[in-house]
Amino acid sequence: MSTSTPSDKPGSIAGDFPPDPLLASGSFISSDTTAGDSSANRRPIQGVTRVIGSGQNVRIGMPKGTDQVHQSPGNSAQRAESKSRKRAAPGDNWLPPGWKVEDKIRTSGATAGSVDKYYYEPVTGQRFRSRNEVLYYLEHGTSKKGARKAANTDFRSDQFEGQGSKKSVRKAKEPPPPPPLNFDFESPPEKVSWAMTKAGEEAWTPFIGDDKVQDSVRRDWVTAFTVITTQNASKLSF
Amino acid sequence: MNSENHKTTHSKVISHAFFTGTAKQGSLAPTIGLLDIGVSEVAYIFRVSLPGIEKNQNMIKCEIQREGRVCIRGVVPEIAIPSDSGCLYRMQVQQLCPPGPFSITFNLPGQVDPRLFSPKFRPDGILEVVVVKLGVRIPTS
Repeated sequence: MSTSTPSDKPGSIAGDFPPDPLLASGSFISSDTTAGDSSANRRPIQGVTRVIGSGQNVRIGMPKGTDQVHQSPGNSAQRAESKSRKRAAPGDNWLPPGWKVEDKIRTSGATAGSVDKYYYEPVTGQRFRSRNEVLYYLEHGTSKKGARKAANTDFRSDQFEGQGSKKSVRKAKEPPPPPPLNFDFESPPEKVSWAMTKAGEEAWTPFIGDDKVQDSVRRDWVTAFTVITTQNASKLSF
Repeated sequence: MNSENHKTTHSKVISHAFFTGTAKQGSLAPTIGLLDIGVSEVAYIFRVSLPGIEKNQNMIKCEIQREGRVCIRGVVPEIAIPSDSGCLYRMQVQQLCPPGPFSITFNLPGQVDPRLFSPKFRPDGILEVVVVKLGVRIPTS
């Protein structure tokens, strides 16, 4: 099955795709191809291990429900520690621009003198009490106050919190990907008329036929032009 | 001797462009429509002389086809000195292009993507345009 497919469609790169579509068809004829079956069984497992391996601490917790119990105490201990003496945090450069940070010194009680750090969302002014909370909010768009309150009793939510913040830490470190280029190189129009408009600033407006090209499309063209003429573009013939 | 030299250099100039209207009526050489064409790995550049064409008063149109054909249209303006006095002048020497519409048409050396077109009309009357060759892609990594 899988060997005949590429020859049926010359030029297709079916071999490079993850074999999901092939698996579906392979399962139909599973009675005579056992090899296809075994590979079908192996695939998902590999996928899972890869995902798990990337998030070190979450490694054990994910696939087996029983391990979560072990995982959650570690996390809550971490948080307890962060409450008391994680004050010497190494700067707030992970914080997106616009967020405000407040250091509040406790004035009374047994812990008077210790400093609490609060983070304020720029638009709503919502207050967050930890970096973890902020990162969770940045990733999910909601705060998880409810989950936090239940954290002592419900280890599952705690587990998820650890997971979420791990992910967002990784995300925060990566530079934001450039916006995808919306430009179809394969189908240039036959003809474009560029008219210099009478605006004081030099401005050229493209027309296809009698229709003015939309500004958003024009911007995509400009972006494509800029990318091509500033980067190393590869020349391929049609 | 000198004039012969001039003639030989002139005869070496290959006319790439086709003119209509006032652009072909200049007497020495077409003062509108002198043309440079350059090429890089990914794009062509062409420069066209359009003296006397004011960008704010005369709509310039540049039509570009995928096959590489370029057609520039415009209008040569009237004499700017106001004729309030009612004096009419009959031209005795006319080397500049007379007022009126014109077009300049030429072919680039290859096919282009007419969307990837970046024109600049300089204040000194030179129109400079970069247009990307057809088939150039952004490398996908």
